[in-house]
Amino acid sequence: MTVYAVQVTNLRRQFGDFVAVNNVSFEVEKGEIFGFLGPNGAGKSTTIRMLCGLLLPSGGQGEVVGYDLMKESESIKTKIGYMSQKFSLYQTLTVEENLDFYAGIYLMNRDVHAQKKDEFFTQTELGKVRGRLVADLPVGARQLLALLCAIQHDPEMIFLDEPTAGVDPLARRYFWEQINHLSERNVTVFVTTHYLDEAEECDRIAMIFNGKLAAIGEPDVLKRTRFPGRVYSVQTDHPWDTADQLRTATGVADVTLFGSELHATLKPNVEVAAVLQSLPNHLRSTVTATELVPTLEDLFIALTREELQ
Amino acid sequence: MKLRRIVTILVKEFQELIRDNKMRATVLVAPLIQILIFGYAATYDIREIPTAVLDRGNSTLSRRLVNQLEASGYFKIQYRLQSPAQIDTLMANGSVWCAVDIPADFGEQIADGKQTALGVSIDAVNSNSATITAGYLSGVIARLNDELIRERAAVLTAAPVRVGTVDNRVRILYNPDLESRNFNVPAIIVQILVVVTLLLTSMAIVKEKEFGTMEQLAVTPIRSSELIIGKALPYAFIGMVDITLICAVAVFYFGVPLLGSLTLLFATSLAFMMSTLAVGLLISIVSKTQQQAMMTSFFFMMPAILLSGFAFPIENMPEPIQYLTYLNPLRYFVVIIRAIFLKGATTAQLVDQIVPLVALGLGALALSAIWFRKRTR
Repeated sequence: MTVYAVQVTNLRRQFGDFVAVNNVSFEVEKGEIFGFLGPNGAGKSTTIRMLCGLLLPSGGQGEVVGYDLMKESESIKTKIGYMSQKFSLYQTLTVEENLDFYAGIYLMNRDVHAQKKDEFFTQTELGKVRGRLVADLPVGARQLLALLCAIQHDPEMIFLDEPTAGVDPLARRYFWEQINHLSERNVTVFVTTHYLDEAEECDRIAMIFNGKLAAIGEPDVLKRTRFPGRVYSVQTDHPWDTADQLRTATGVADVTLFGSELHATLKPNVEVAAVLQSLPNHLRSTVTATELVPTLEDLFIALTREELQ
Repeated sequence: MKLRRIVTILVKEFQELIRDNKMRATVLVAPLIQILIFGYAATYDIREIPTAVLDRGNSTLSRRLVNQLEASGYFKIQYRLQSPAQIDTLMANGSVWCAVDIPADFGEQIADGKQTALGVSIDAVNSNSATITAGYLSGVIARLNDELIRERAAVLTAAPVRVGTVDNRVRILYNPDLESRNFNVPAIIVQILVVVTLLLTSMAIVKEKEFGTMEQLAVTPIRSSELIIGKALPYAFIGMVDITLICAVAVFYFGVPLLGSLTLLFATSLAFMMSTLAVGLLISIVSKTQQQAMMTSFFFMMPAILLSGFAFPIENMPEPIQYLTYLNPLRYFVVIIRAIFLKGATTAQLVDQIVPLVALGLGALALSAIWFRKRTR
């Protein structure tokens, strides 16, 4: 048995002339939380839809949970769970009826399912609303129910397509606790998100731009290795003027104002001292610069810019 | 194929249906209202046609004609006019559909043994009722002529008159009272069944697309055959409930005779629903939203109903269109249901209709199932 839950090489999908996913290759290890990031329209959803067997790839090959992507998509479907940002639940069915419905579709053993439901209802808030229609539930509860519907048949792997879009921070926190529990039970989690703080929780992340994989690895490693140049926090008495000057200075890739302090991203192989030297005297006298570890957000923005150029 | 998945879908469809007020109304109330309204409205029989009379001579004979017109029950004399100009005014504003202009010498001419003309104007905006009106009028005049001949002969010969005439003994079969309601109500059952099954099936599937649950189902191991059967059965069942309801109204309320076997009626209804469910499925494949599905359904239903022979006889249509109607499942079912109701037709007598109906149903179902499977990937 392979140690990979997902293994694809040169995965490709075209819609007419438009190449949505362009020869992407990567692996996802069993039991890891794998974050899939990228701007809207970069090919995240197309990739996830191909991996789930919703969309046939135009080219390439791969395996998901040990089954061939091209030929065995029906077998893949029995071993995975899927939850999309739309929380695809039946609005006019109750919480319990939704769980029963998906249990029936996955042909779950009835006793096992009854036990599962008991567990869900005693351990989560959903116990209080089991007879309530989904249409009347708050977003956080719907999201939790959608997750439970997607994992109650004990899939080996779960695909989450922007599962926390529009959910409040507390519910998001709770949701990520659930995801970590799954990972502890050796369930592979494949998640797309726009929240970069969520991406920090992933074991590994991949970033996709214009259908191509731009970076893949552990978040901390990527920040150090894939980030072009270095980031400095610049303290100054004249943030506005300094920002203006730095933006035009050679060797500076990007300047962002954070309150009274500036974040300046330098181009590769540029020394911070040289940049500060170029400032006019009255500004230079009040400036101090300290190096920062770039955040995923910095990296994401830098890679997006790189791609645009 | 797993029975449990089909049952799971089926149970869910009913749960959704029970909670959805709009759907409940569409399924139960709408067909009842339709059969009640159409049962009264869908009749070709014209009675008490608003009529104006301009009697220029006011003779015994002209008064006799007017009395006979009124006595027939078909004409209601609403205006007795003084001048011919009034005819045009009344016809133009729609106050009367028929105007009879009796010349001044009407009585004298007939008494003289001469032929005389009667001026009749008929509103033919609705050509159908105009033809019927003209027919009724000819009937009344023919009877008057007949009477005049006999009376004249009696005057001329002292002995009792024997005029040899042809009496056509027409046997009016299957609908002896020529009630057009008996002819139309069974056909309305067909229409209602189309609307309910076709619309509901297409909406039920498109709704899942709209809410994203279809995508969720596509990631589960469910097969399209299981989904299609699980979706179709509840609506076939509802179709059967509806047909029972509206047949009951037709028979017990409108007094339409149901001479044939109820079993054959239900069996052919099921065969017919294979087609409508399949078309509903096809519509759900090409539609993204429920509005689209609704519009597309009507786009199919209007021509299907008009070209079914329900209102316009297929024999009168241009030949290419006649061929086109062979692809219309309604064409066969309208004939079948009328024959079962009014003629008490048996399976053997209807085999020419049942075979193409079943073939169309199976074909459409197979086609939509294949296409549905392709489109889900």
